[in-house]
Amino acid sequence: MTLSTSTMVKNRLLLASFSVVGAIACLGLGVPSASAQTKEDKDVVQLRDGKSASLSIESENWDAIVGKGSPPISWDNVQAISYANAPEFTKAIDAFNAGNYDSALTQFEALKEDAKLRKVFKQQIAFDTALALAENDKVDEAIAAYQDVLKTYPKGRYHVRAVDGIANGLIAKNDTAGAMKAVDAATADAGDPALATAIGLVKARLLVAQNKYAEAKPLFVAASSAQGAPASVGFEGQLGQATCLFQEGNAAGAETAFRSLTKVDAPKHVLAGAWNGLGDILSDQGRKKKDIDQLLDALYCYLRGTTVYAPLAGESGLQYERALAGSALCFGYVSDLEPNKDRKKLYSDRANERKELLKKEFPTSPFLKLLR
Amino acid sequence: MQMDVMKRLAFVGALVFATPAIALAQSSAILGRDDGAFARQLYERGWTDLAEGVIKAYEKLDAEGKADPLAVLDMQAIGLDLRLDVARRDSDLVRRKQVITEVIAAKEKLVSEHPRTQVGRDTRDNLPDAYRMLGESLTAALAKESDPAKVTTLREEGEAAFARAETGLKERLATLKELRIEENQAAADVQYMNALFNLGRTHYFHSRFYPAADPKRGQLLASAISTFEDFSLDYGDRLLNVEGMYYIGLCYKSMSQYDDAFERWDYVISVREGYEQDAQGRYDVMPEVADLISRSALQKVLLLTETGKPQEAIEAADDFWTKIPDPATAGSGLAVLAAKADAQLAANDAGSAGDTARQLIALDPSGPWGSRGREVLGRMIGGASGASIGPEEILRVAQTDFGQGKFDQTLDDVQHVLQAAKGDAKEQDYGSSALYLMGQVYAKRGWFHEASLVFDTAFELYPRGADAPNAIAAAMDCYARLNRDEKRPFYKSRQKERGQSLTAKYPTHPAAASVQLGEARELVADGKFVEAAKLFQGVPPGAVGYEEAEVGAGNALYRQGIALAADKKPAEAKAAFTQAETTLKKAMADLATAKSKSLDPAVLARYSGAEYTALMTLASIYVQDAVGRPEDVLKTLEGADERFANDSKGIEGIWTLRIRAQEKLGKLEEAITQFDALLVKQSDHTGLAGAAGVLARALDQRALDILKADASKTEAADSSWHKAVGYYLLSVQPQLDTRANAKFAELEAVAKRLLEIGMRFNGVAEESNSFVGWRSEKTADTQAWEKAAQLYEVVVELDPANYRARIGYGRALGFLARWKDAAAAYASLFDQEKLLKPDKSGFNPEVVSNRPELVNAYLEWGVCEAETGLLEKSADRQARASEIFDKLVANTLNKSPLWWNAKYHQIRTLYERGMYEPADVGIGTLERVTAKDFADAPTGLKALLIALRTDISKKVVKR
Repeated sequence: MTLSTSTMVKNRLLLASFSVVGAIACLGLGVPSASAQTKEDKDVVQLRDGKSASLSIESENWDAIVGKGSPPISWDNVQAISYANAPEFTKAIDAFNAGNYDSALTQFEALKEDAKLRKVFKQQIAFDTALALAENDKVDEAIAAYQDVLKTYPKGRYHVRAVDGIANGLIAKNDTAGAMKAVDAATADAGDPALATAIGLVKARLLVAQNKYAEAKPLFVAASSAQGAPASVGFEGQLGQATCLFQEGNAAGAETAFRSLTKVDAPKHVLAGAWNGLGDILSDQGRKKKDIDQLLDALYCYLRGTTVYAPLAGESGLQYERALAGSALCFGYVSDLEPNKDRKKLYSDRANERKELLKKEFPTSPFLKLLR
Repeated sequence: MQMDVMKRLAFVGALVFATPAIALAQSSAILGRDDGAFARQLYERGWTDLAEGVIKAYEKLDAEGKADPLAVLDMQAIGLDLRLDVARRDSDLVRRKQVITEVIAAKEKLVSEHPRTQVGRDTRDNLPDAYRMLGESLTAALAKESDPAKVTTLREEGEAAFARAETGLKERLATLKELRIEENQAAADVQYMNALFNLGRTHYFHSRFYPAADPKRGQLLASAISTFEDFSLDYGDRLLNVEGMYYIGLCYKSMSQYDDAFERWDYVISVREGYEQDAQGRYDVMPEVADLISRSALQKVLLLTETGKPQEAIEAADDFWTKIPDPATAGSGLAVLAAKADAQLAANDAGSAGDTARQLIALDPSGPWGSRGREVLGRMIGGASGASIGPEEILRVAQTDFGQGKFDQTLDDVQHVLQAAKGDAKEQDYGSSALYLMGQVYAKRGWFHEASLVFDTAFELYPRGADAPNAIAAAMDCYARLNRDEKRPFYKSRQKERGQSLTAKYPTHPAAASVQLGEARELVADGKFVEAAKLFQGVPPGAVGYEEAEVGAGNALYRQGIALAADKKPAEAKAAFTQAETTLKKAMADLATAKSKSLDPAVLARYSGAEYTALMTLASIYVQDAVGRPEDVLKTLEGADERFANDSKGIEGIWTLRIRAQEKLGKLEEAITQFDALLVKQSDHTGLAGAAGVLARALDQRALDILKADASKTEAADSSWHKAVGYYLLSVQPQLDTRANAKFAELEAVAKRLLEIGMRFNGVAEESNSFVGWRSEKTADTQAWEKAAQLYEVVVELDPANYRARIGYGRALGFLARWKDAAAAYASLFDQEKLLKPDKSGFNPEVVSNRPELVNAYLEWGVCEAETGLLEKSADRQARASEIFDKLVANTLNKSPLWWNAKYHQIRTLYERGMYEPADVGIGTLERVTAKDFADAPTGLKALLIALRTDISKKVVKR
């Protein structure tokens, strides 16, 4: 089955507006999945504090890396991983990250023939295969592949993202009830309260998409105070809570929550999401009050997501798209309010430039529909 | 490496002693014959500027009749090689080819005039290298050329050049063949040997002129191999024979006979075994042998990598690197290392590739191999091996990318720096520098909102970083810029806040001093000149910025004078100008004193800036009508070019005023003469670009004025425009050479003007700006259009979203009748600009309203497709053209000029496609619904329509 444009648009808007899916997604996307072979037999995990740890990785779980004779390393602390003796795997992952899915899938198939292939590589190949199918709009096949990831690698590195993938696939098929049911089942089967909380973020997103903020909020609250989950789950929970506050009309509360998020060492997409949230609030107020300065404040909030917190290849680009669209809208609003003819045109041109950039970089971006 | 450094130092030492002798040279007693060898050595070691210096010294001596004739000949030969070097770096393929052709002609002349001199013999021996370069530049030009006529010309030119070289060598061999075996003819034998070797090389270079599948290529390669084998029979004991083996290897590689190629290169490498080994197993070979071995090792490494054996390639590189002493000094030593890095990447050993890249950077930090090392690191950034590169290295790569104008790549690099710097002890430094760089990218694009935000964030996130103060200063500038454009308190207050932060936190930063004068400057910006002058004059002597405040006061008074003059108050204006003149003269004297008391480069730079402003303001006063002292402008600006030589913008300002003054004095030609003299004097014209732009615009305007005064004086106007074209090109050349400095808007403006001047030269109707309907009545003067196309191409490359530039590019190509290229340019344009509605049912009204130029461009696209279709006999292209014309006819106002043109081309394309019946119906209907003989059609089209009707009628049998 192929996704219809409108379903895809709706789906991506949901993802971006509330950003919750990034909570676990960033564990996979934010960290280079594989790296060059090292001369020693040990894998090297580069940590966010500038140090590194050499270990033989045995498994990559949903919350941490586990190595032989080493304490688990939370994904929060991981900057990158260099796998030992993995040239072919590295090449395949490079192709995948570069978007050459056909080439990557061919290489994955060849790698799978190797009986001695490490389990962590098999797990990554299984998930990336599902992701590639989804990217190629092969929804049913993608759902099956995600289910296979859940079954073969329970509590694995991609557990939450696989649940999210299944939900996305079902939403694309206009089966919201099925999506809710699949997520509930995954929560029930989680067997780990922290993992269940992380999966709860997927459900929260589905609820928000149905404007059921009151039902979503407790799930975000639970995520923000989850014990034993990666810190990013907590940040996502806070972001979701703030978003709900704004949607419920509590702009002041939302602003405080977003601002406090901008001051912590959270993943880039969370920071971009928080600044985008602030942009939404200020832009809304600026338009109501017809206040150009406030709209410019909003603009500067959105611009964080298009510049300093822009994603790298392989990272989620949704907040970036949202920020580009937000900045284009703000330029447009200022142009509408500006009485001076020359300046009006200047701002209108600026709005168009950002719109063109969005169109060029994300030709199917759902945010294009929001722009004039 | 230590040894190499010592050698270089010794050589430079010799040079240091030699240079004063050259500089002071008064007679041939000082500059003797040995200086030819000395200059040659300078040239061969890469100190081309110094070699040029020696040559110039000789030219001077020669002019005085004091030079040794043989040494002069030597210098001429080196001068020709220098020209070849310059040509090799020229990105303009046509110009490169032209220069090489000229050098070859000059070399051949030198050889024929001085056949028995050593210089003549050496020149003859290195002629094949010049032919190789010619062949390569012709091959490159062929690859870019799509015009079949030009392709044929280029091919013929290349054929003729190589044929001439080969015939010459064969004749020479025939002459020497018998002579060389006679007694006492050892010299003839050496000449025969060199000629035979060069014939082999020329055959090889000639072969590269043809594509792989061309049988001529195979024949020439076989001839080259056979010649080198003959050479081997006669001169097997010579070092040149070893080089011949190297070439045979290259020939076999070209023939895909890789084993044979490896065998020959291994033979070359094995020559080292005739030398003694040291304790580390390195062979004590002569430098010439090391060079040859390095070339063979390089070829081996490259071919092994190409054929999927990177591990063996790495081993081959290591074998060379460990068995030859000082491998980096061998001719291709560093190239071997670079090839090794590529092999390591191919072998997925990114960590080792990084180590090799770092070794390259360490060995050649500022040279091309260092850049190559950084490129290798750049390729590793963001790949699966990203983790192995540190933030400092990524930052260097980012700076290199920025310097090369790769802005998108720089933004990506910056993100990697930020990621890699997390937790590093120098995170603050790396973070601030990376974001400072990111801000510069946005500022370069003119996106000052983004730039200001990023500069702010650099300071906000990394306040202790090395570039934090620069970032605040840059943020302040961005807000000032935004405020200047928009006059909005939002920006003004941010500008002020950043200024306050800068002065409070970094009081010694160069920008801090200027902040203190900010308030007065704001008054100037608001047009309150008298108040501003008072505020400037309130800064007490001895305070930081006093001298700048004096200049500010003078400048404010000058502006007051301008305002009064505009209000038609000449007497009051003159008084203000006089006051300004007095203030500025005092300021300049105070600045001179202040400069003598400081050694701080930052402070001196500030004073220099103020001095420039004072000088320019003073000169501007003299040029005012109310003052009327243009001759004083020239006096004031005497020596200014030398004082501000490093400031290209400054030079532009100086020349603007100088030209204005000369114009007022009726002496524009003198300005041109002076400027041309400066061009000859300075080999690097970068700093003169701005001034060239000023002259170009002045000449452009003069041409317009000439025609306005007397429309019949077209010759005088055209002459002025021809000169203007040259200066326009000079004005943008530095931007083309260094893309990081490219200003899209300026390049685009020059391209547009060149396009228009080209239209003027070629008699395109004034009311038209398109090639549609234009036919040249004589051979087109295409120089301006060629250059316009080149400039537009660069603008499109650097600013792809610029649709106007894309139109300009297509239009320039259209005027040049490069239909296929033009069609491709328009196709890219319309791929980006969605003129058609998504369902293709018609034009998108919003796009038409916002970008009306696109509709005309759409017609031009159709014409280009139709012309290409006709030339290439491509039914697809003709069908696309028809589709375009159909859309235009359906979506444009009936009987508008555009509609008429679309209609004409619609029917014409049907006719050219052999669809005579529909064409006949079309032309008949058109005449019926308009007027007999198309009387309502635009003037130029009537005749074309009638001719088309006649053509169609000949093809259709009327029933």
